[in-house]
Amino acid sequence: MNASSEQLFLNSLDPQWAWQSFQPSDSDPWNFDAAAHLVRRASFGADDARIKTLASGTPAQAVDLLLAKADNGEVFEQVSDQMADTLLASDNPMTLSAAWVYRLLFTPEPALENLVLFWHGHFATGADKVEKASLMWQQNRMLRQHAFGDIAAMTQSIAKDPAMLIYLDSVSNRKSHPNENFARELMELFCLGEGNYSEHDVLELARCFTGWEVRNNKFRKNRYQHDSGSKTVLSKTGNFDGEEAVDIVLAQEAMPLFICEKLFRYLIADGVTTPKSLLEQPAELLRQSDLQLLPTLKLMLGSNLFQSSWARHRKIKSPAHLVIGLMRGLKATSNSHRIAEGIREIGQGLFYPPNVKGWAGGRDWINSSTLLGRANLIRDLVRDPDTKFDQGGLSDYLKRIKADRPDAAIDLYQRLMMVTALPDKTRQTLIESFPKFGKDKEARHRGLLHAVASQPTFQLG
Amino acid sequence: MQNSALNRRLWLKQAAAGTAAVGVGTSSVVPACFQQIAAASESDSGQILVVVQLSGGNDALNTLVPYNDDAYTAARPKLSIGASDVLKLDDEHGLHPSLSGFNELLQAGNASIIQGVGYPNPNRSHFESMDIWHTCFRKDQRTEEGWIGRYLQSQSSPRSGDAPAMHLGHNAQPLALASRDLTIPTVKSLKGFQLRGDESAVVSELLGNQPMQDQATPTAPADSSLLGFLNSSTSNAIAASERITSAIKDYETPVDYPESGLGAKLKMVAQLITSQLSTRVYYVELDGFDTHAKQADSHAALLRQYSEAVTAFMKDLKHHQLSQQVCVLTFSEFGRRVAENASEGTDHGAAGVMMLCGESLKPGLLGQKADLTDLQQGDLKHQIDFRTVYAGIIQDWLGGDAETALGASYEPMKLFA
Amino acid sequence: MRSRSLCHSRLFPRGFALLLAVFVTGVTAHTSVAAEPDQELTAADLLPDSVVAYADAPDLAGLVETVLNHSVTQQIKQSPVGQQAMQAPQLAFLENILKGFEGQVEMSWQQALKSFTSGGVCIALDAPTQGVAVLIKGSNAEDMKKFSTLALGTIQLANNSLGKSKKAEYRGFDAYAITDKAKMAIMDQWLLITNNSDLGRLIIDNYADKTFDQSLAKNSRYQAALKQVQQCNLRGYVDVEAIRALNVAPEIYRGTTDNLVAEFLFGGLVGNLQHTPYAAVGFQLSNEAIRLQAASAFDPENIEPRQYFFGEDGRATAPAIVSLPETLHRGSLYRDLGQMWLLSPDLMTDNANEELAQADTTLTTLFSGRDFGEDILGALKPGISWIVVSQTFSDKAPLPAIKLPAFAIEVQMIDAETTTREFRRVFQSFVGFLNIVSAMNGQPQLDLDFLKEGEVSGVIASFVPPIDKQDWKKAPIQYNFSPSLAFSGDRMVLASTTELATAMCQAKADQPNLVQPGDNGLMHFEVAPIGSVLEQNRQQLVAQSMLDKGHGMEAAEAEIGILFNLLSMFKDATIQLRTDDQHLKFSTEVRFVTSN
Repeated sequence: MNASSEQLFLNSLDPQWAWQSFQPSDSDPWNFDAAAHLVRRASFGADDARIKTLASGTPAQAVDLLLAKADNGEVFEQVSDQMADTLLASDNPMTLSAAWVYRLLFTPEPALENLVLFWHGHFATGADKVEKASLMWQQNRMLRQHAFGDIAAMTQSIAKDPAMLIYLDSVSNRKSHPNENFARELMELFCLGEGNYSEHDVLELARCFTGWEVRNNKFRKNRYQHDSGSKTVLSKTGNFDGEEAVDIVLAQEAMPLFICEKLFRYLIADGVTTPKSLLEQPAELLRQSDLQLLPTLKLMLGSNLFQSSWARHRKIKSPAHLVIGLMRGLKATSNSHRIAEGIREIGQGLFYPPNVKGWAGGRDWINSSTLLGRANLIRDLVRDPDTKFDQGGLSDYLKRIKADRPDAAIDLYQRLMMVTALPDKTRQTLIESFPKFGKDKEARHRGLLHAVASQPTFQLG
Repeated sequence: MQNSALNRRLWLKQAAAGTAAVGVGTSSVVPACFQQIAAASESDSGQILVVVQLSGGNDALNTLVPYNDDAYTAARPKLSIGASDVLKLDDEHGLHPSLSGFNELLQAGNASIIQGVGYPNPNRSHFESMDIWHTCFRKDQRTEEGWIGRYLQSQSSPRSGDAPAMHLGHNAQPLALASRDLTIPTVKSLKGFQLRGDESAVVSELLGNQPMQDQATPTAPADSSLLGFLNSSTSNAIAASERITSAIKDYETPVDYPESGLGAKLKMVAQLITSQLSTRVYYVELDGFDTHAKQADSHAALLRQYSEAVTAFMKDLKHHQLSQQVCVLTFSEFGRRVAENASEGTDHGAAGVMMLCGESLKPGLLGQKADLTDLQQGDLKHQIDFRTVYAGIIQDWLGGDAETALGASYEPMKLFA
Repeated sequence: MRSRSLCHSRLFPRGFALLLAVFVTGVTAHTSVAAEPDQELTAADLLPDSVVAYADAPDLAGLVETVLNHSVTQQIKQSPVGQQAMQAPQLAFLENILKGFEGQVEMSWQQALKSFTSGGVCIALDAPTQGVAVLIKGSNAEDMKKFSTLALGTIQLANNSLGKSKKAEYRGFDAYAITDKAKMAIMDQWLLITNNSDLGRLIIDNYADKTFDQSLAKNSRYQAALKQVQQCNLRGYVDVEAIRALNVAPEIYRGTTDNLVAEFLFGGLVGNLQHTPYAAVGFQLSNEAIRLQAASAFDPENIEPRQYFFGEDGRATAPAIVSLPETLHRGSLYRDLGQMWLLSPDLMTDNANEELAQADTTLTTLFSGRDFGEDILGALKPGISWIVVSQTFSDKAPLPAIKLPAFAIEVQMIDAETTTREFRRVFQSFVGFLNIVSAMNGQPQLDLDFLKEGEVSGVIASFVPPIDKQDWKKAPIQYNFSPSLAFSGDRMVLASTTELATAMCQAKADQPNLVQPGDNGLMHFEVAPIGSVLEQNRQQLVAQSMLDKGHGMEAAEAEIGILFNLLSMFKDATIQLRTDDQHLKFSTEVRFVTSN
């Protein structure tokens, strides 16, 4: 549609200003809304008290706090790893999907999980094809290990990841018939993007990976099938093996740009073509940091551009951000299986990306059936008596935080989970309809929450 | 029905006109979008394809029976269907007696059967052959996208927010619908298109009345195209939901759909089509055709289920004056071995038949009679590459570029009158 | 929510006391002349014989007492959930009411209940009038008057129509309209509530005129039915013949189903509804057990097409069951499977038969072209028994992460020599087939071997252990199984593990056996071994609870703890279907763990 005005805005941005650390001013203050925006994009939102804490420091402190390790992080890690290990016995990836939802709901380090989800979409691997839950889990742990950190190590690992190789039909790769699939995706989807390599590079790169195969669900190198001849990949020539080949790809100038462009779309704005000039600074930082992600992440999340009014309205919540954001925002707990199934129905099955490209995001999340699906999922979730808010009823919780009048509740939801206020008329209707939402206060509040979360403005943020 | 379609167009036009009048300069984002919807609706030729997949390998020889062929009766001492039982089409061919409904369609000129359809070097594995039919490629080539997915991807993005295609049922989504850029929903029941809950009336009313342009929200910049997009998509979704809800509620059809899985699915498809969704492709499956043993009864039951469901569907569409808009394509991953096996069944074979139903078809039998004496490892040789059938459908029915969808150039078969 | 009920609990008793005062004075002022009470008279004497459904509680007070003093109730009360419930405001409200009530009637509510219902409580549905009547017989007219008036007042208070009920007199007894439809009458120590005036009048006439000739009590079907459930705390009677004649819910008597498993288990029970004149149900609770039973008249002449279910003479007995240590569950049924398969067109709906035809195709394929009904099922004697035992896992084999019990099915062969060969071969091809499928899906492979131990011979299969010993600790679910087919004489055992196959072949049926002559089918569950299997999987249960409820690990463990506590209250459960000379009887019994 009319992307041109967006594009114009983006093209006219001064990169210098864009990536400067956010300087609060009277017109763009550092306040609750700014902190809420940060915590929604960098993680999955947070409750009132937590956002207040973040807003009470400086913007940079807030970013640091979000990305820092949590005190109880390791304990949580252990408990949820143990749970996932136990659940692997059923060998059902959907159960694993629920276990990941559990993590998203309860982790003390939600920003890390947000990045794991990013990498899962980036190195998209689908359980419907891989089938073995343990392999999906193994990949997930690997992504978590490197999520904030070493992209090079992550890419090297993914090249040997059994789930990935099964997903890309690359379990065997013989000298006489180099399998181009992984080689192509490595450059096209994982590291460089189209236009930054030639078909010849694909053929040559594929030769480097010959002999790499998966047997008994484990990666191994079959040296008899490795083509040890000389190859020319991306203008470099030598007897490269797979590891060296990955290094060559990673060393391309396009690589940090490609990653930063994707991160930009994940964290800052959907559906725009980010000009190269704008990406150069974060890309340069990524390169200088030896492809360690954390500094670039901090740069992006702490920037003027990130906090600009333009950026705040430029993302449609993914199903996970929609649901987990709502749950975390209201300290809610519920059945993880149901959430995992639910977000899968509206387009984001964890461990079930739609194809090798992962989730396109943005407008792609939205069509008539997913929009109705979003409303219905929220409805089922909010109306489920198993869904508890701060371990009790919603109206009790709202009362404790002094937001149990319908207008106060709407204000709270807006503050926590929305970037755009509801249109006045909608707000009015919602308040007037409050008694229609149920027999008692609890039912009415749950109905109101469902109604608010179904609004188009709620999908934004 | 006609009426509601008209209203919808009118509404869109008015919406576009109204907003265009307001929208000057920078805030022309939304008007443009509405104009697009209005224009698209206007020119909506709306040709719809319904794909029925017979999973397991339908026995083509007992579907379209060469009842006078001695080689046929010789190869199938127990399973052959005799001249007195078949529904005779001509001196050589007859239909399985279960296909009486389909036969009526055929006699009325609203159906065709394409004989000897297959592909070179037939693969006799269910999975691999089905993948070939879905992707048009062999395993070692490109297998992540399907022919319908590629076709839809090449079309302009869905204008109304309706899904470009839908898969109905509880199975995993067929690869035929897969593409890199589109996500196709799998619909288990029409309930997914309705807002649930006691408060749904309020919610539906609120959602259905989204502002036509981005005014009034204090914090959103006027040119937030994403919000405009969400608003219009939401209005559309609610409108679609209301159409579907009322289509189900008021659904009146003189046609008795059979009480079978396929019957229920095709009825759902009919309801969706009458709801004026802009969805172009519907995909349903009927499983159970892998008849290795005691084939006679179960194959008869399956074909009856197929025939009754499709016949009811076509009658229903005719009743709603939509039959001109719809073509039903039926295929299976392979035919079965010419000779029966010792368990009164048949094993995996090669070439098979495809069936088409619709009103603008070249009706009757297409292709040549299978030669039962010229076999390839005991199987019929194919005369027609299935991709030429797909090419014909895409080019002449859906109005797309066959080469893009199929990934290679095939001479489109003349399927339509 | 909370505030409202609080306010209720404060206000309501006051209003209630007031109401009681009004009524009790009213009652004492209007003490009627009590007719000579007939202590022997029962509700069935008053009800017309056209009653088609009837249920009663001969000793309601006794039943309530048993429930309240029951060890399970006590344990629930002491559990955290119970403690929480005891503190619920609703309960306090109820206690307040009871106190008010006790104050007014000057006895404990238990005593009151006893006096109020000492002659039994019943509800009946009459066909010609379409009326429902509730009859309660108290110990004496005075108390009954007191209670009834109180009850009436309470109903009026709830309807906001205190003192507004229409009152009338019929045959010298007071009658009240308590709602638009329902009427209440007090006849000495009897209380009658009905929604139908004709039925009401009929009952009062019967009482006043002492005409009991056309009564339910004289109905032979009723008499026969009640005899079947005499000792029960709650009893029910249905005049099936009359209901059949009314043609209500004809699908129940159609006699065909589309559920094969339901047909297999209960087909005979449902089928008998086509013929039986009556059915009785009963519920019995004691400190030791809870028992639900049903009986319907049964005539072996009427069993077609379910000869497969009851045997040709209608009296077949299920095969005896062996006994093994750590048995969770045992079951045995008389069923002629081959006959059932062939009879299925008569038993199943058309739809189901079409599906069966397709299943037949698949099964015949699986059994290498042998006709499934004729050759496979037909080679077996009627009757099938099965057993489920918990298994122990050695550290020398892969340890499955989810630990399942082992199970086995036993049948007997008609011609052991031929059939043994057939099945041995089929089993081997089946394992081969499984291996091909598993290989395609990357699942573990089965290794085939032969078994010969004394009388016992057979084919056994075991999953090849993972190469990497690291994978042995949390092996996939397959490692619960070593599918085996064992033979011993006429007996054939298909078991999930080799160990169980051998053990079952070597075991002898206990004497006396769980299965008694006349038992058509029997299932028995032993709770302690079920608990130990769950215990083996405790970690799994905790993880599931975390996911399902969003609990942390501690909360999840506490929740699972409660489950185990609950389980420990039960000893065993038995489901039984039997035929005797005149009846088909179905019963389920759950026994509690008693402290001694």
